[in-house]
Amino acid sequence: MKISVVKNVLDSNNIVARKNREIFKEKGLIALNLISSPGSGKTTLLQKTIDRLNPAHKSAVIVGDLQTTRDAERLEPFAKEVIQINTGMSCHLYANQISESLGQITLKEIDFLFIENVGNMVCPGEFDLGENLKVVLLSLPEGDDKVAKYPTIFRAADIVLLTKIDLMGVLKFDLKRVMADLEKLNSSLKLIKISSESGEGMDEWLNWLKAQRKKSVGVQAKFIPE
Amino acid sequence: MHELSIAEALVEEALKAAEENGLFTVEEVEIEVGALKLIVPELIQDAFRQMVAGTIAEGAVLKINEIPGMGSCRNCKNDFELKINDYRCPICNQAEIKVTRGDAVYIKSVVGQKKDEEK
Repeated sequence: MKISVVKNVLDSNNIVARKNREIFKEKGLIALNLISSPGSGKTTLLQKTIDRLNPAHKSAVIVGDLQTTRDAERLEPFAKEVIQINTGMSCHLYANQISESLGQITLKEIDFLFIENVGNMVCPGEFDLGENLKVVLLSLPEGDDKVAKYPTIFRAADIVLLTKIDLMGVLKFDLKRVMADLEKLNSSLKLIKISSESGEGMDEWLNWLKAQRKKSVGVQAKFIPE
Repeated sequence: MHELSIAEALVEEALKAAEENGLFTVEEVEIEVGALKLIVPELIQDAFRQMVAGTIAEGAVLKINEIPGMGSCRNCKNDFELKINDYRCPICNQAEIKVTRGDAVYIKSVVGQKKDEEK
């Protein structure tokens, strides 16, 4: 017999993602999903970002890697709470891994939840984790052809961070090409040129983060110093 | 490479649907694949074959229907087919679009044998 189903194959994941999103709203925090290829500077950017958000805003990080707790160790001195997920052979995080991790975080004390996805420009774009915003990083050494090569993830991005911008001039990188390719996918997409090394673009990024949090949560910060 | 992740989710949903409907075998699963998902049919076929091995759907046929990616322009409300690398509206030239179709994979049907059909 033939059974009609008509169901999105990612339904199970999306249901959990929606629940996560409700929890973030209820607890008054904003969740950002950081997606990029390996080595684009996600962890270093998070170290600098969280350091600058402290002490007024408290941050937690859930970080996904196939193996090791190296990223968690690097983030621990900065974030209030860090959870490392080892995905084994899976090249992305699932919504239920986030949902399980949330139980280990004191959410009511957190303003920013950063989810550092497994380094990969393809699969993380498929799986909604319940995040409020997708942050896609593209580092200069990766080359100026990547937007056109990986259109799906750049199309899904809420903001693109062009990282390691301090290498402009050292590397051959055609910024106009990147801008033109992004323009074809989303005309109003925000792009910040940023360097964790030189600090360029950090103010703009932090202001954007705070504005997004205000927009989604409606308050400045929950943390009140004693 | 994402075909593996998608096939895994697909097989899980198909087996769930089979179980809910009392099927004890699955012979065919029909899916609708949106062009914007950039799925390579051969790769998802391979992944599907591997994922169903050892389940009641072992050996099942995966029928793939591809549909185009469609968008609606937020500026001029024009509906048009999206190109993979270019979402600009052919009328107003802005990429301010809402994807209306073709950015998901749906299971349409599952064919198998029901327990009371045995005899």
